[in-house]
Amino acid sequence: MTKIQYLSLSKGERFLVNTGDFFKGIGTGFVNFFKGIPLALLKLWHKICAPFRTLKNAWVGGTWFTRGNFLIFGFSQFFHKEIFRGILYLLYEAVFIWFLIVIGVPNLAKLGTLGTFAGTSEFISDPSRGTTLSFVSGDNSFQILLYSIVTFLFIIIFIALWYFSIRDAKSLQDNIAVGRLSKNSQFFTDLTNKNYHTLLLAVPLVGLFAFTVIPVVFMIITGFTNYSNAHADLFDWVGFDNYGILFSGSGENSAVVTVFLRVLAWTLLWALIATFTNYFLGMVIALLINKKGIKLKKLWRTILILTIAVPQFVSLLLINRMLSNNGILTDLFVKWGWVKPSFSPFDNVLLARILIIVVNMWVGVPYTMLICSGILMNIPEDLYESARIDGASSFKMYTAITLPYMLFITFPYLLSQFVGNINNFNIIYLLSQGAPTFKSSGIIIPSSFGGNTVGETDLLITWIYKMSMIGDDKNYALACVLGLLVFIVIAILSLVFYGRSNSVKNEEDFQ
Amino acid sequence: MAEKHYASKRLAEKSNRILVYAILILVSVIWVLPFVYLIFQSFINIPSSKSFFPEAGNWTGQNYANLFNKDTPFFSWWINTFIIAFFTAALQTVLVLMTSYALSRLRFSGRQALMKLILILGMFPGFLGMLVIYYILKLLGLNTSVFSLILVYVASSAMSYYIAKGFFDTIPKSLDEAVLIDGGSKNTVFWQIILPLSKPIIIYTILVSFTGPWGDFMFGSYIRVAGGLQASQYTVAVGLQLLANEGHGLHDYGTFCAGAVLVSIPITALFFWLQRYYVEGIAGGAVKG
Amino acid sequence: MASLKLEHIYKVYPNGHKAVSDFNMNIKDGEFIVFVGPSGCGKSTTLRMIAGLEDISSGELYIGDTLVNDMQPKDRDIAMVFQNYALYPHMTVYENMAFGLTLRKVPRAEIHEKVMWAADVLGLKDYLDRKPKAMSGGQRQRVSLGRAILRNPKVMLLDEPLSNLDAKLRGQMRSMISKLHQQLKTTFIYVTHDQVEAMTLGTRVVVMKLGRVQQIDSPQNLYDHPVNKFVAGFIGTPQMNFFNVTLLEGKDDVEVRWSDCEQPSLRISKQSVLKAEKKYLRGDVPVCLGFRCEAVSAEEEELAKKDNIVDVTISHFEELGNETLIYGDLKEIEGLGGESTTSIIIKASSKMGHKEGDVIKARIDVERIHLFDAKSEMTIIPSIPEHNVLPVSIQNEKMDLFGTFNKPVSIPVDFLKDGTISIPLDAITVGKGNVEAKVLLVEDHEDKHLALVKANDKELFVFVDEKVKKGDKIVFSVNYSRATFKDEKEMVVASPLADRDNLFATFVNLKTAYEDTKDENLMAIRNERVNKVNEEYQKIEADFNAEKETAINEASKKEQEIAPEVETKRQELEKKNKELTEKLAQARNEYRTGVKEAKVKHAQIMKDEMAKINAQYKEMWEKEKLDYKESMMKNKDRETRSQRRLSYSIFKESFPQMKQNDVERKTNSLDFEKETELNGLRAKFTQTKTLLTDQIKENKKAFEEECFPLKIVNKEFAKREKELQEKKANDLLHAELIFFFKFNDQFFLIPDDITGRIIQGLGNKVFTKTFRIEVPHYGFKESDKGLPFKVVSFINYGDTKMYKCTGEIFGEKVVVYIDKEREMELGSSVNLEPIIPETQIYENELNIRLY
Repeated sequence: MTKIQYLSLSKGERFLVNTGDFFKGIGTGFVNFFKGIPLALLKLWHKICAPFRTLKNAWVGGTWFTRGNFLIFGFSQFFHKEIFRGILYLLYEAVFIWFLIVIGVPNLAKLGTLGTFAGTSEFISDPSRGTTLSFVSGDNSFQILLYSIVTFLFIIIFIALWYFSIRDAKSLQDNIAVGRLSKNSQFFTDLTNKNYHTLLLAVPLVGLFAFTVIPVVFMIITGFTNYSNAHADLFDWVGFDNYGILFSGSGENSAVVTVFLRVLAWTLLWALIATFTNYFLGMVIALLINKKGIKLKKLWRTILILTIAVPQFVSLLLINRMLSNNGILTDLFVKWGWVKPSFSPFDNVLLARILIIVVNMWVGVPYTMLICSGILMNIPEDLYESARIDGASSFKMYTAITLPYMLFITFPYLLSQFVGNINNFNIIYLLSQGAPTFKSSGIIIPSSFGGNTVGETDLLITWIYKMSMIGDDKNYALACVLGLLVFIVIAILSLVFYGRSNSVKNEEDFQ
Repeated sequence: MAEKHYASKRLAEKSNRILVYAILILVSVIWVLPFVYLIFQSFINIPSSKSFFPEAGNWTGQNYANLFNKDTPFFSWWINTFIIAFFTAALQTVLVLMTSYALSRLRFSGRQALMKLILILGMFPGFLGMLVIYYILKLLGLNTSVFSLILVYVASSAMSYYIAKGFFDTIPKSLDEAVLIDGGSKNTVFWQIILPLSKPIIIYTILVSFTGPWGDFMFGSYIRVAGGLQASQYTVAVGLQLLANEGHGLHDYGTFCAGAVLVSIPITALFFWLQRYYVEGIAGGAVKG
Repeated sequence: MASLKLEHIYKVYPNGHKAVSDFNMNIKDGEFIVFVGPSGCGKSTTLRMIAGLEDISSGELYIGDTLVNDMQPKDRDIAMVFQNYALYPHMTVYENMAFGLTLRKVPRAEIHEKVMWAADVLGLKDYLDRKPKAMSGGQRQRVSLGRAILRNPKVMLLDEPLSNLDAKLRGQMRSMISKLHQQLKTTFIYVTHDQVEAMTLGTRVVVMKLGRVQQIDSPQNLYDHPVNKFVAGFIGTPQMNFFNVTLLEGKDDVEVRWSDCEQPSLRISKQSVLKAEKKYLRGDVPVCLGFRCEAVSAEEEELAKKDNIVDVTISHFEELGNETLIYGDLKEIEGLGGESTTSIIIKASSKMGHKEGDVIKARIDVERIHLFDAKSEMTIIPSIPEHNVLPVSIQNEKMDLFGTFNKPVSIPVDFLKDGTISIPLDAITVGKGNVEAKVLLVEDHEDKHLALVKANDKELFVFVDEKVKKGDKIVFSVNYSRATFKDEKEMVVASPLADRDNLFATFVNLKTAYEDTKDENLMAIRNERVNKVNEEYQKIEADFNAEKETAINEASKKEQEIAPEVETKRQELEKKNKELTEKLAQARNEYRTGVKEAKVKHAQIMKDEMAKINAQYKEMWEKEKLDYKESMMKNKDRETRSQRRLSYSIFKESFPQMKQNDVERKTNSLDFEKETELNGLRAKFTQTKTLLTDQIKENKKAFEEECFPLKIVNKEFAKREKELQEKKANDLLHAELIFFFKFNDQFFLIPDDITGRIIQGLGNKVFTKTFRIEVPHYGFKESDKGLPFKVVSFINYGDTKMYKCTGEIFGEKVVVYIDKEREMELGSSVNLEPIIPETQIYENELNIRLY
């Protein structure tokens, strides 16, 4: 199918060809993904054995100073005028060893069984102060798991720094052999020049690791334990049972699989609809405001910004209030006959879902409107003029120029909005709390899966919240399993879209 | 002949414009109505939500009054949140600008990997990690004070580098080189050239990070329960949520509305004052990135 | 004001692509060098390497005589003007220009003075307080120029500064830059892709293509003697005409036959193709003829000369006002005449009455034509030819070249009937040998003198020294080993020996070499160098101490003498210094009052000026109102009234703006005067202050020298002592740094300057690289430490004998030719050691030349 043939097709045929290409694209995407694997593996293999090669010739070719580094970090740096770098290396080694001894080893030992000694508490009557409760603290599996994860992280960093210190020592030795001596002050002048990025990124990265990476790793790992309200202090490895429970659908958990699929379907549907409704309505309003003849542009924009200014949870609680049993809007709905008198609109699934989407539009549209008006302002004017000369109607101009241009520019934003909506907790939690519960429609959900609080309009995220925080069983492990599944779903979807969108590819030359 | 044609064109345009104005007015009404309702609700004393406007006899300033009595110490809530918001805004802006400047301007080996890592971390449901973060705070002995929220917000500031990076990408690279030649180091480039030029994005980041803590009730309520905070230690979001929530003893809908109004006014004022930069930040950063 | 030296500069990107390869150039102080070439030819990369914005993969860059490879851009004392001006948008023009100096902590008064000077030179006086946004492209470019010249750098770098300006402005800026260059005498390096700028600005122009230097020469030489077709095509607008032709040597001239069209062939003098190789003149080798549009003309008086006339069918005209370009073709034009190889452009004064489609006559001035080899695109009449190609025949041991004489033994050819011998110019040594020749003419090129000589009916080119004149008699001899013999069918019968043989080695430092071989004399070299340094320093230290000794006892003697008068001397000092401090205090408050007065004065001037403006505008306003009222009453006619009303409303509208502009301009200029006056005062005060404080220090120093010479002497000697020790430690370290080239298990010492260059090129990766060392035949010497070779065969070249020896290095067979006076039987083994200074050293993997 040459280009010319393609252009000669009618619109309908072209649409078919395009959709065919899209799916073929995904197909070829997977095919060359797998084809790419051996190449990637080879590259990976080179990447892995490169450090070993440097280590080998560091040991073989290295002087005793360089060899010293194998044992003590920064050993040769001290002797060759790079004292500050040496101190840093040594400092880390000392801290690591202290950490390993004090916290690491005891916890790692217990990692296998995640603690056995439950800890006892008995009353000790003491003549002077009456009976007091003395509490002998037992093992706390949570703490053991957390510390062992942190220890693993420290070990990885230790190995990396060990390798770097040796590589530095070897290159130092070569430099000296070649007559290029280093100076102590060089460390600081480099800090503001060559390695300025380390200076800038040090603090943010520490924060990122401590408060984001460790929790995420912890979450993935607890998916393999049975940590829940019942086993609060002492839980132990359960392997893939959690996944088994979720998917086996045997015994009392039979309903779980259907619930999971329905919630997953609703989450994806919700994310799709919410993202596109917000986007298009926002764009339409932006178009209206930016239309040539319209005055008071600033006024309209300011009114809409009001919703962004007021904290989201205030407006959501307010609307929830308006939609509650005897709220203003419920009376309206009753008058229109959508809702039976004494029921709240959240009782029937369809109405609840529509309401959530509408409210989400109310909250989300101003933001997209701002973004779209931002882009509208810098669409080159001559596109419109040439279209007008060609005699395009305003609708044609919209579809031919504005829409494609906007879609191209906002694609990454759209994608991140899509991911954001999948994890959009506030709207559901504050508005409908899951509204019509499955129980009302006859599906029994075991308490470990959030019991009867789980409802039809629950997203995966709110279901997880109910399972881990509110439900009487608080089964954190199962919640983590679901959390991981959410991640996998998002990862696949964004990989497929992200890879194919060209606006990401030319990120580099966009600067 | 031409005369007629000309007239119809103008007519079409006129009616078209009226239609647009009508839609815009409708949209504005829909977007402003809930807040008007909120303000009126804050003046009624019997929480009958039947009528939109409080009836004649129903007006009362009582709701605002009992915001300041003992068990709903709104003022201390407001002060706590203000302090948290202030420090978060200051620290987070610096960290976000540092991260996005490093990712946008400096070329170093792990750059692409770091950006991908942050993207992936964003895909995980956030609050599952809350338990762990709380535990870490407990380790650091901060879990009983509400100001540990500052540490939590600031620590995750590297995640929101995207918009500021988009803005820094637009500044031409030859400025950096000119400074290097004139005798400055990369440090001088950042502080003396890039920051003065990126006033809009700085204000945008300050604005976003200042309004963040006011709206976060999730982590606040978790700390309240786990850390056992007293009433005076809540943040505004936590306090108001308790007021609005039926199950809780403190429940009083009127005071909730009053509290909500008092919270919204300062933030909205701040927004309107810095609106120009907010719009520019979104249009400049979010789109180009 | 500094010279610039670039030696074997390479820029290799990690993926192996060579952006710049082997860039060599010596730029004298004050030259205006222009890098020109199509985009992507590496000209900007080279400039950025000089500036330090890109690091140099290998090779050495000297600014002045300091090696700057690893220096930060800011320490290289260079300034750069960017293509998009790179002005700091948030700073005013004044701050933009002063930013460089403020970073280097220069006192404010000096900065102000310099900025004023730069603004004055560039005519930016009244823009100093403006932001770049509010200025035009030309002004902005002048600001970035000002910022650069302000620091009066050693070298000024300009990266296509004019490409964003419109044509007229570009012309003005060009003349300003060249004026600036004359005025400042700084070395300018200017990058552009517009060859007009290159021709007008540059004292020397470097034409580059795909990372390689094509030609470095003055603009005129580039225009007249392009070294290849690319340079010819690139320089000069409109582009040079190119035609495929063949040359055939006739009786008394050379015939140029068109290959692609049937036009009458041109006749050129033998003289003009003298330097071309004879093979081009046989009519079968495709040659490319090139001439510029002004070398062909269709004017009557030119056509009258009747020679070298061609018919041209005109396709279209381009009228440029003072001249017209006639576009035509030597063949009929089918269709629109797209890609034809016979298109021609003729420069004429006017259309001369012709119209499209006419066939006209045009005469080609054969004095101004260029001839290039069609395949290699190199010119076939180079200013200095590579080698002479002469007919030769050999039978039964007799060679008929310069007269018949018995064939030198070394020529391996026995029978050759009318073949050719090509002798490279540097294989001919003048002044010794048995062949006489008469000098026909002499040309001199920079440092070499080229002479055309005639040796019994054969003409050839040789290098001679400057004493030789036209008509002299010289003798010369030929080193036949370097000559190539070809038979009539151009088949190479005997090729010259490659003048260099390749050896491969790795680079090793003393420690590893010693560990491998435990060879004592390696350490001996080191010890010997170290001892040499130690002895040297012993001597220096000895006479340093001696000097110190004499100075100390002399000082102590003086101290005893002066001891009694110390007291009086001290009072004297205090009195003098007190006086000075008083003067300083007095100068300070004088300055303060001066400043206050100036401020008051200026405030007063400002007030009066403002009052004047207000009055002036008020009066204007009154007059207009009155005039309006009056004219309204006077004329009743509707048209003029509405006209008047309109002009009145316009006046009312523009009045405040006009006034505001005027006020602003006034305040600006007044502020400016105030600023300059205050600065003047401050400068004066700082001057007196520094003067007085220096004097006080002076007195104190003099007093101390007089009364306590010992302390000063000790301090001074301590300082010198420290310097000496530091220098000694440094020299010792360098003495330790000995490096060797390792062949199999033999190690050969590398002289220091060569090691410096190799290390400079490759940094600490030097130990991992393999090196290709090209050793000339005479570059071997016999020594027992040498590499074992076996003599395999020999070629006898009459006066020299070439022995072919084979050996093994790192397992590879290596063939080497050495010329030895003494006899060597075949099969015997000999140890050879390469003389490293004679060799050329390449890094093998990326083929980068290091020495």
